[in-house]
Amino acid sequence: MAKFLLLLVTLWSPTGVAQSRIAIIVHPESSFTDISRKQVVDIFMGRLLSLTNNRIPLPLDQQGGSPIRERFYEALTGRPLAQINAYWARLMFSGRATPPRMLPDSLSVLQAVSQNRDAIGYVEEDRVTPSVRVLFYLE
Amino acid sequence: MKTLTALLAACGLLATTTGQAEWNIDLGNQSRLRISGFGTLGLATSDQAHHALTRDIADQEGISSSSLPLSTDSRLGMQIDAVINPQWSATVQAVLKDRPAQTIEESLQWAFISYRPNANWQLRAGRVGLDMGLVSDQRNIGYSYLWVRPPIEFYGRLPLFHFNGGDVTYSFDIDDISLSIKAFAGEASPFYPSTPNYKIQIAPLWGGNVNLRWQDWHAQLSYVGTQLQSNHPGLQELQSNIQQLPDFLYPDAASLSSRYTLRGSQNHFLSAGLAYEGDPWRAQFEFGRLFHGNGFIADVYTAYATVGYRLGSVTPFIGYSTLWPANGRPEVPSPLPFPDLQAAAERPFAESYSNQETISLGGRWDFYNNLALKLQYDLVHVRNSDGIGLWRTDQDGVPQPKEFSNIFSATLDFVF
Repeated sequence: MAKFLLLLVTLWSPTGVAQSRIAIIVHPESSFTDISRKQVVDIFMGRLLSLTNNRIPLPLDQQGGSPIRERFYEALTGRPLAQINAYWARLMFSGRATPPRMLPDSLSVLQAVSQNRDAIGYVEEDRVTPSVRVLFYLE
Repeated sequence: MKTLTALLAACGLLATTTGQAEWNIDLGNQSRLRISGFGTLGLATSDQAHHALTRDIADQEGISSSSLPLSTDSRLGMQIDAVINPQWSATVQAVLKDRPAQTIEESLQWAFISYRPNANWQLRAGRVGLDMGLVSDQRNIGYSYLWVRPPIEFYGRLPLFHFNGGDVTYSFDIDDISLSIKAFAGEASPFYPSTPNYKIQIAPLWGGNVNLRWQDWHAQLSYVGTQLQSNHPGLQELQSNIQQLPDFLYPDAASLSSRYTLRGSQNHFLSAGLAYEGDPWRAQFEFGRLFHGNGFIADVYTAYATVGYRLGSVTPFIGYSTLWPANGRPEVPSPLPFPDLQAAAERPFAESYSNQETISLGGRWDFYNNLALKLQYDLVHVRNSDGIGLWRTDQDGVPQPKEFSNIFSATLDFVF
């Protein structure tokens, strides 16, 4: 019975549903080969410096309030979306940096990444296709 | 004001619906136009009827029990970023708010071209934000900070948001510490509050800062210097009235009148800030020293500290901010022969003098994507009531704000 209840709770709670991991993806011929987690944080938070090669990465974000965006920033930075939005409001509206380009869904991210060598994006693990290369996964 | 309120309401609605997609116009390749905006619908009132607390010295109405409760904190901004390629971009931002003049020129906050030849360098030219403290160039963007308004004792005396000129930033990393060094120079000519059509000519304006970031920590040292090029018409009149006094009536006329000048005077502002922005804790501290190179505005020290703790979507915070003179209040050395002239001669000292502190309690509730509701209570303590400082008054003569004032504020902040 306890097991059954546990299963029920797991199935019902929105976070308990077996969630796919989030894949950080780049173009198959991208020059970004071993990017660390910290570098991905830097890229998505508007700090490009820690990249050693001189190509400026083109980060691609997902739409504002989408669940995958929330999970991505929570997993990557440990911060809630509201704090990320406030962070970007500060950088963007003081004219210091422009936030990553926002695309409507994972499909458009896949498409854009497969077409641009400098692009870097994130999609659900099960959406990954051979047209892109996975750098690493976020739990 | 009515139009602004209607606009704000419309944009607030917009913020609730456009959390999902940014407004982008693709220009092919990597070029795009990004249209975005921000705003605040703010209500504020106090238990003071005759003295209004100002957000900064360019705030026209201030917060009192008799002022329009919407005027001080409400504002609306729109920004267009044209990203041409990773190196070149252009930004234009316009802001509507309560201020001395509502001209297009005044509304234009930023209008600059940015060039990033590589990851280390950034150059900006045009009208750029004045970076002289942790939040100086984001004061209009309520959504970006915890408080209803940046601590007035610190930022209230710094009404300059932008200048025309340019800045250059060099950034580099040492291990996991990010450092950046910025230098800027230009000129500015903001409207002087409460004097119709008078603009303060600031030329040159110069400065720089050093920023250090490590994990959730951010430290900044900054400096800005200004030189003023014109005198205020009221001060000019006072000067000539004092100069006309014959020697036998007032032997100090020459030295006294020479104190009432802004022209040629240099002001310097030095500050140090430290911020921790982790989760759930966040804290921010700044200390500053303002030097005025003229004979009537007292030099001041200023500091504030804020600590917040996130509980789900609500972040309560407490804050303390203070402003105190580095030396005593300047005064007229010996009584003038006419009471009217005496009062007029005392007024500039009193109007610019301040010595006060504020304790703030508040909370930010991020209740919806891109929307935040904030409530704040401020207890303002005026330590010396012989100066008006950050207050507006409807009374003539030397104003005396009440010793303790209670300020209540609520804002709805949004970005879209």
